[in-house]
Amino acid sequence: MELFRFASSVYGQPVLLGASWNLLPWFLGAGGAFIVVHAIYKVVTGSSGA
Amino acid sequence: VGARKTDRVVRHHLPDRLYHWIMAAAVLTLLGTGFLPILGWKFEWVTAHWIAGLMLAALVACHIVRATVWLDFWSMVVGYDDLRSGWLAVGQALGRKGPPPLKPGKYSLLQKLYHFAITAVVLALVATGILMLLKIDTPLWRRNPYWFSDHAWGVIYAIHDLCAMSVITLLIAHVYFALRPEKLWMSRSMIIGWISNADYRSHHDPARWPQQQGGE
Repeated sequence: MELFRFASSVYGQPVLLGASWNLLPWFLGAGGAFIVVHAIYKVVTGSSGA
Repeated sequence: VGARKTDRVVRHHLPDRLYHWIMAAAVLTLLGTGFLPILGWKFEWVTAHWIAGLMLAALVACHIVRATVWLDFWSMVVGYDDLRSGWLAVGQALGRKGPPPLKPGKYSLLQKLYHFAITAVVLALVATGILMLLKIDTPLWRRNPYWFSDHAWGVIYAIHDLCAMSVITLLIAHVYFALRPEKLWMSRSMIIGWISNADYRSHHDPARWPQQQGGE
């Protein structure tokens, strides 16, 4: 998986454009995974704190 | 919600609540205008994006001044007691015996860590976003993209992109905690401004967050 977007310069060299948009699902997934893990932790422990 | 005024402890004053919700509108606008075109929704997004970005930058500047001059700046800074309490909380979660975690002041350790993370990300977004304004024409200025080399622009865009995607993760966690049933007493205060005296006493250490009504 590529982390960055590149284009070619007029000399044929790679030029950094920015971060790869293929990372977007990973950031969304990290948020979803956090919710799932925390919710399971709360159910298992039954604690009322953070 | 129907508590008498003497049973209330002010948690968020009106200017701070307005700041929070206007900032939320600006961030959602920025996320929508930033990511929907990438996901295939074609519309003229640039103007709305830079206007919302400037609004966010102005709000952040106001918040920094207000938090430094009028609010208790140190209430959001991680201190020794927070770290000690966090260590005790981890021990408790792992089933270790020992004293319970300390009650927090106005903000808990996790809230302070979250605030630190979102501060770093938003400041990076604002800084890179202001630089990116050099790439567009607006009624206020003309574009001048030659301030930086192609590589430098790539780095600026990469930082902006990564921070923008990080905001999505942080926002998901923020909304999740705000909607959890045991946090609603606190989330509600971002709308109505106050928490009950009972919540103040049960969730906070009055010595670390002294409040007139709550201390009575």
